[in-house]
Amino acid sequence: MEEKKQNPVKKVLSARGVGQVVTVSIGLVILCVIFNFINPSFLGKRNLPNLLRQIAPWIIIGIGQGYVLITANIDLSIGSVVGMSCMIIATLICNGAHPVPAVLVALVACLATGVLNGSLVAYFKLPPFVATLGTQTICRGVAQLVNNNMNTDGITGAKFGAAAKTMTNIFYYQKTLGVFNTFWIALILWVIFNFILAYTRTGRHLYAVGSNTEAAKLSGVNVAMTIIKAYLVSSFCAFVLGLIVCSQTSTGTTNAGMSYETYAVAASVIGGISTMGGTGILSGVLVGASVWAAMDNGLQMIGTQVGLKNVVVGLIVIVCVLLDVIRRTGMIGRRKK
Amino acid sequence: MTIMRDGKYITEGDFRDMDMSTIISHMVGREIKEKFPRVQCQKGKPIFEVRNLNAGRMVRDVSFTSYEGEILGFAGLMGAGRTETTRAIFGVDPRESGQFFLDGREIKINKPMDAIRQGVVLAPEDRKRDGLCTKLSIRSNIELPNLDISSGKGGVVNRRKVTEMVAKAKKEFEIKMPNDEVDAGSLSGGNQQKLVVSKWLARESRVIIFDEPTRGIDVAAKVEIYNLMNQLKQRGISVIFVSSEMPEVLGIADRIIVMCDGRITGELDIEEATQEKILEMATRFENKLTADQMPQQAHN
Repeated sequence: MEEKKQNPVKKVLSARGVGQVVTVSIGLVILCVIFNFINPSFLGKRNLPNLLRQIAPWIIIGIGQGYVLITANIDLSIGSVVGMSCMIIATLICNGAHPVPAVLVALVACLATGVLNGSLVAYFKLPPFVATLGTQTICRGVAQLVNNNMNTDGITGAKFGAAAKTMTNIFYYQKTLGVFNTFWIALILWVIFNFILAYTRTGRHLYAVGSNTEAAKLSGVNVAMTIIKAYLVSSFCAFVLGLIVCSQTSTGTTNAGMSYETYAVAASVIGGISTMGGTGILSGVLVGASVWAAMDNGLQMIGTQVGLKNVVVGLIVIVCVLLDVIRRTGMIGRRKK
Repeated sequence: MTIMRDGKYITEGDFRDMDMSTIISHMVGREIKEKFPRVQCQKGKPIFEVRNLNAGRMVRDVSFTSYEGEILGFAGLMGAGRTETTRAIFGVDPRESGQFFLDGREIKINKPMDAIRQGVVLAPEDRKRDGLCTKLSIRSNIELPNLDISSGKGGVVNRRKVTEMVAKAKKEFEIKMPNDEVDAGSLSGGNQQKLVVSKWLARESRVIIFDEPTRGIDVAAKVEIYNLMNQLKQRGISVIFVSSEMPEVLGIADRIIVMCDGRITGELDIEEATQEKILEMATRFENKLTADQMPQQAHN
């Protein structure tokens, strides 16, 4: 069979998952133009760095949720893990610990949650929705327990206050090359995890498991291990965001990260990572997170009420998923069942 | 009767005026010379031996040996334990006991990857359920079981190697596709089946187990599968062929093992094999099902 020479631009566009990313990117540009038209300071010097920093959290947990969604599972514990990470770090610092061991303890706790989530789903075959709903509650409980159900004091006033201050600067307040570090952290995480997903064996395994678990198993893929890896990435990302949230507020708040898991789903899904598994690319998370933050920030800038803002953002998620479904069912229609 | 091919109307005629070969030739678009092409080969040394394999109720004390230059057929009725046997060999389902010998050396198989690495591979029965990741591309499907070859120590996939592998698999087997990036699920049944098999042609396999490779595919694709099995046989690869269709086992296999109720109930050389003999062996335990066995079977 002769291979037809393809137009390189066309080839990139026809690659897997790129379609949705391009569509949503165009939407994002239009959105930004509209906001900027109504309020010209939207893309102004003062708001743009803020906007980028607001995108970062959704990129970070979007990556984690994206990994899990690609394996056709879901992680509902993300928000609570963010809260747990934030509370453990803040509580330990306030009780006189240096930030470094405090962060490490939080990291271990979060990764343990990831292993627990993965094992429940992979080995014990619990429905991911139920399993992670359980860990969601557990982690929120831990976040409340560590400081007796109270928010902590300011971490900068603790024994290692200076070190804590440095931590808050590194993870939230400082800029590098004119952009807040938080955004760079998100970008670095994205580059690393995008590489793993797109160019390594583990990445291939994630897609295979999400597409057809049984076929993946019969192709020599260690399915359980792959699912655990996905949940580990998710918990790790949630841990990083917990650290950032803690740095932002300089305290530990027991309800930090509340309902973030749904935002993570939104960022992934808007970017074309299907909740059915096996499809989507991580570039989608960048775009999805941007749309999310742009809506959030932009609607505020043009003076929309919070309630109305939530309604609009919710509608956008539904429209994006609907578009995805329409495209997919269109394909199914042409296909032999 | 109306005959269609590739989504187009071909011909129409009275049912009584058409015989089997006319129908087939219209369906395929050309004359199929032989329904079951047979290639004679010298039977050589033993390649793969299974000893005392036990895995649950459906695989009980199964022992057999496959030889170079032969296609070893597995016949039996539905639920005779043939698929379970192939899965136990491949390391998918846990087994209680059993030893495997490849080219005279004992090999350990505890998970599918062990089997794949050592050259014992399985093209499973239900291609949609077990064989293919239908949402992924053809390329990804061929790549998946061969990632151990195409990726380095750090796990980074070498795309050039994958492309070579896909080209190799494609050359062995003409899969009809627009390009190798289309969804595997969009292929026709026959092409999907070819894809399931071609995954294993990209690497050096010693034993290829085909579990019902011709179920639900058209006549032309069936003949292509038979031809492929014959080619593999000529190359000295051990071909194990599980099928519930008696004529095709009789037409393709060189030796037939018959299973019934999880056990091997007979072995026939192709010269002596007949449908009646196979059926007799395949139903050996049917009338002996005692009352205490019944609930057990229902449980399974």
